[in-house]
Amino acid sequence: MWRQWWPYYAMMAPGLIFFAVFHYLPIWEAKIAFQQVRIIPPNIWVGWKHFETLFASSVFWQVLANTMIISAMKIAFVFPVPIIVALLLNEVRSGPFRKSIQSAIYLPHFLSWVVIAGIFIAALSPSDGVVNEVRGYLGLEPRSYMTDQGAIRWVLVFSEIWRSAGWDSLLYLAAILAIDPQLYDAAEMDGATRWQKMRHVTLPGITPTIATLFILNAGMFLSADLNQVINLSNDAVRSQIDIIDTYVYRIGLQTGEFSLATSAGLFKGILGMLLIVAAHKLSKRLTGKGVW
Amino acid sequence: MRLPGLTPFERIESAIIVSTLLLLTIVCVQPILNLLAVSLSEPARVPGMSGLTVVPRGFSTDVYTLLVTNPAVQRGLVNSAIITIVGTVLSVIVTALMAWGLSRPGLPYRRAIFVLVLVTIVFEPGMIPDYFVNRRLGLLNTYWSVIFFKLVNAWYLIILVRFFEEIPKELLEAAEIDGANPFQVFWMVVLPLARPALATITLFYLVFRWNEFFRAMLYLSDQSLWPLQLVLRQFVIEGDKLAMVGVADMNAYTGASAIDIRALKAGMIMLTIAPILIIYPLILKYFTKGTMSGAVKG
Repeated sequence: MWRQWWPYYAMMAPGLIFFAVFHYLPIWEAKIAFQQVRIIPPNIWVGWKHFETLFASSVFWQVLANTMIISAMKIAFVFPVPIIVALLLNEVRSGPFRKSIQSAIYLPHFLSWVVIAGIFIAALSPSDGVVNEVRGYLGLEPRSYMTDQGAIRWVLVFSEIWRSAGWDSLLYLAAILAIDPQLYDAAEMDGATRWQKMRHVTLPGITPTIATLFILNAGMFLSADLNQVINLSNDAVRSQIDIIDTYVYRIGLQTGEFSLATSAGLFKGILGMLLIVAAHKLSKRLTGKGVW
Repeated sequence: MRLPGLTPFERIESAIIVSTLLLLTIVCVQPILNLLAVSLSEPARVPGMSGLTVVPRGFSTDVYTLLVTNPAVQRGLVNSAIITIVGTVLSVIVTALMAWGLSRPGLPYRRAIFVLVLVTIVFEPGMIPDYFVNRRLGLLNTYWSVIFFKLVNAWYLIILVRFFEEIPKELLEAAEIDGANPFQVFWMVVLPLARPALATITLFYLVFRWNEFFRAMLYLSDQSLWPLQLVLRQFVIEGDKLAMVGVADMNAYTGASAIDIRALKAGMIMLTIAPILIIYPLILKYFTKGTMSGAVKG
């Protein structure tokens, strides 16, 4: 058997080594969550000590709460937007017009969070940002959103909409295009209006896609997007948007409490895994379609 | 828009739909065009410029001249180019070779490998263990630490395996009968047929590599290795003007410091976006098609 298959394994070798070294070796390295790091090796095993420290610290519960609040806000306010965008785009009959809208609204998805944060800081600037300029025309006082504890979570929500609403609508648009055209013909013969067709043909047609993506989003509940938060955060608002990942980065690589940071990271990793697997199972049962 | 056979009510509906979409389009593009306008204006006329405008005040490329002659920006451009090009080439090669093996139905331990790959999507032990692995291998403060991060993206691997599986068996068998070995079949039959899929994956990797900043921040404490994203971050997000302008200039108020800092930031953002804008037409061509067919099939 190996005579036939070894060339394939030779070709796969770089990839297999990559997965072993950069995905499985870290799992082994995560053992320091259960160890006391000593300057002179070997480290000593301390069991659940670091987890106990973690669960006893009020900062940890604060970042966990922040993470879940931000994720919940994103599911409530970001998730529906691309569905609406797809439904609207589907109503545009003119091909070139639709294409040019699509070309414009997909662009933000391909920008890094550093760039997007730069754009938002400029647009939200109290002195010369476009948002406060519009507020001025409406007779409102300028607001410094980036340093406002009450506003910063909404900045996360809106920047996420800005980045992903266009691109994510593509997934729904693809699902809409896959709907049997005969269903629309039948609805038209029954005299359905555009609104009725949208409600009774299009929306049911894309429900499986909506369910799958909703569940996939829910599975990411403990992430809340490190790349986004780390670029939109600053000293004035950190307490509001400090999430698990920024906490791990801070106490691990800036303060040097490697074991404690690793235990927080593992906590997130394991809970996140349970969430994704549960979401996958649920998706399979509800829609017959898994996440992978 | 004049549409035949529509009731007045439906016309109002159309108008609402079109104007909502136009508003969304403006919101997506206007902030970028404004920064472009600010960066191309005459530096002295930038203060007081409206955030709404998309037309430069006068025209000057001083900002860009200053940026591309700045040593930190130059190093950033070179580092980003190295990481992006080497990383993308390696990623595409390693991913395609692995996908080819995994797409063969009879491969021993095929299922086990799939499961092991899926596990890496579901479970991540966190950034600290990743950091330790890089430290142990002596990769910290080398390009390799950033290049090896997600060298093979598990999702792209699966997409490619699915694509290879669609290739008609007869074509592969014909080549095998002609005496081609597995590598020759891959090179001469599979790759040419998979060109659209490979182009899509290449673009995915290119964008990911160019935009990556966190792993560089994690692994590269040596600032001379920083990619452009980190230089941008230091200047625009952390507001570290000295790093960009230089102490001598700052004190003498010449060169970079004489230029409006807002214009300089806008120019720096545009410079970082530029490569993405250049390949964006290709992205539209391949990504939209790829995502569409994937979603329809899946």
